[in-house]
Amino acid sequence: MNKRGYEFSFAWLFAIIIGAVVIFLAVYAATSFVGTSRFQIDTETAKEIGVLLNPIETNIEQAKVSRITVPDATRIFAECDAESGNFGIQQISASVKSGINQPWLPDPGATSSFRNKYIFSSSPYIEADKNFYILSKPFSYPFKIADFIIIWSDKQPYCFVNSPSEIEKEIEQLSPEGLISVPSISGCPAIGKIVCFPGPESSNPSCDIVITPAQGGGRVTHLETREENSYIESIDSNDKNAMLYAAIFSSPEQYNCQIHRLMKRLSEEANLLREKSQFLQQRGCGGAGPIQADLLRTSQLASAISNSRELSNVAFINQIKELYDKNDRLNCDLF
Amino acid sequence: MTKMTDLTAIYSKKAQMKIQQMAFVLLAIMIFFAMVGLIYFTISIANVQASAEELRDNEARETVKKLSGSPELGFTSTTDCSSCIDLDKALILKDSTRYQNFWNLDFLMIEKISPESSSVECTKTNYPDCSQITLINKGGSLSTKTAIVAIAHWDGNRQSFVYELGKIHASAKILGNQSG
Repeated sequence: MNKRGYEFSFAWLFAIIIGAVVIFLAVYAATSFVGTSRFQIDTETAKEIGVLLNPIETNIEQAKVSRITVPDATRIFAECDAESGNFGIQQISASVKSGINQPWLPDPGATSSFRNKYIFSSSPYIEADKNFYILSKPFSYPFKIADFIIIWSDKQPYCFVNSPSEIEKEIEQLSPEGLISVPSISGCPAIGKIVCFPGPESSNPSCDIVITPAQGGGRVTHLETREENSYIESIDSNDKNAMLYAAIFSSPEQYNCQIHRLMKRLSEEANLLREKSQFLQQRGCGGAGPIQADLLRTSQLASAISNSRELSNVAFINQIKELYDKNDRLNCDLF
Repeated sequence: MTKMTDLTAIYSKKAQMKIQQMAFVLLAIMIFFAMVGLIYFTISIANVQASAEELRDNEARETVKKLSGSPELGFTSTTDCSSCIDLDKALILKDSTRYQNFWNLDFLMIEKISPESSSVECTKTNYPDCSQITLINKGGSLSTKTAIVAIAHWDGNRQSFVYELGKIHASAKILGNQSG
């Protein structure tokens, strides 16, 4: 009995130790594999979203509405870095909800970087069960600077209360999902953000965001954080509300960063147009000379703006108007 | 006592054999799974690279389609041709290093196809009697996407803008070419 017991115990002991090592390695490999696969899926999702945002950008349109449908609940992290390079960087990363292990990984997948995109959304991320809604609007000041990509989701629809007639008409024409315009707060759905324009209900405690218009722009107050986004109207009178939309849908931190990036791009574009005007002047466009000093001044003033409050700088606004008028008088318009 | 010792000795050899057998079997199993894992990871890494290539190609394709909407290249001087590429701006951009990494592209060229011109790269001295402007060229093996576009530029002799037909060629950023 003793001999048999000795034989089994040693063999089993050995097998158990090695078996445990094998099982541990297998479990470790499987866990790592699942983690890597999820990271890969998150990274691919972010890149795909970035690519999908390209056709949404406008050419001659005043606005474009689109929808990105995701197979599983997804979070988009749209981070803005204004300091990097000449144009700053828009970083996009994503995290997809999983039924295995923890639903969300602590960190999203690898980031995809874009220098020519400007995403305005809630931060630090925007989460959708099935659908992300996108509104793309060009911003011109005085020439087209960029397209604003405004993103919200089915988890957080927006309700505009008592909005001005041009915004109401635009929403009616575009019919974006997850965004409605109603005359009174009672018409808003139970979930989502209520955006109150000036009117009898603008001081209602149900309002999440309050708009305070002023001459050529205004302020958007996010009541939850008590922070304000300042906005200016585009020069193009047919579509002057692009920055207002951006200020509504964007967290103040992200908004200010994007405004900083936008002004950097305006500065670079003004330099580009100045060089173009010099080139055209040599090639027979006589009137292109006087506008060069204005383009240089515009570039300098724009590069000094680093947040939305500085947009109301009177010298900057006057310079933009001057530039717009002078360009109108050219026989070979620059923009 | 001697017999007992003998028996123990015989038993120990048997046990050692079994242990060795088991150890070899376990080792073989480990090696087998390691090889299966290795093959699997080789295939999956190849798939990841392929899908990364595909995503970059898609990005290049979509960028090419939308370049005329970009204020840096779009023709905004008149409303006659809103989806035209501004060749004058493109020539200025060619000399600017600031836009080299702006579109996530490793190659970007605008080619004039009609009316036909001498097949040479444009410079400020031979413009507009030339056929192509290479804005970005970072070298390497490139899978280029092409789109037909209308192009516009100022004609000093006619004192007006002229509209022609062209192509945009673009290639996505290659992995590892992430500078700037």
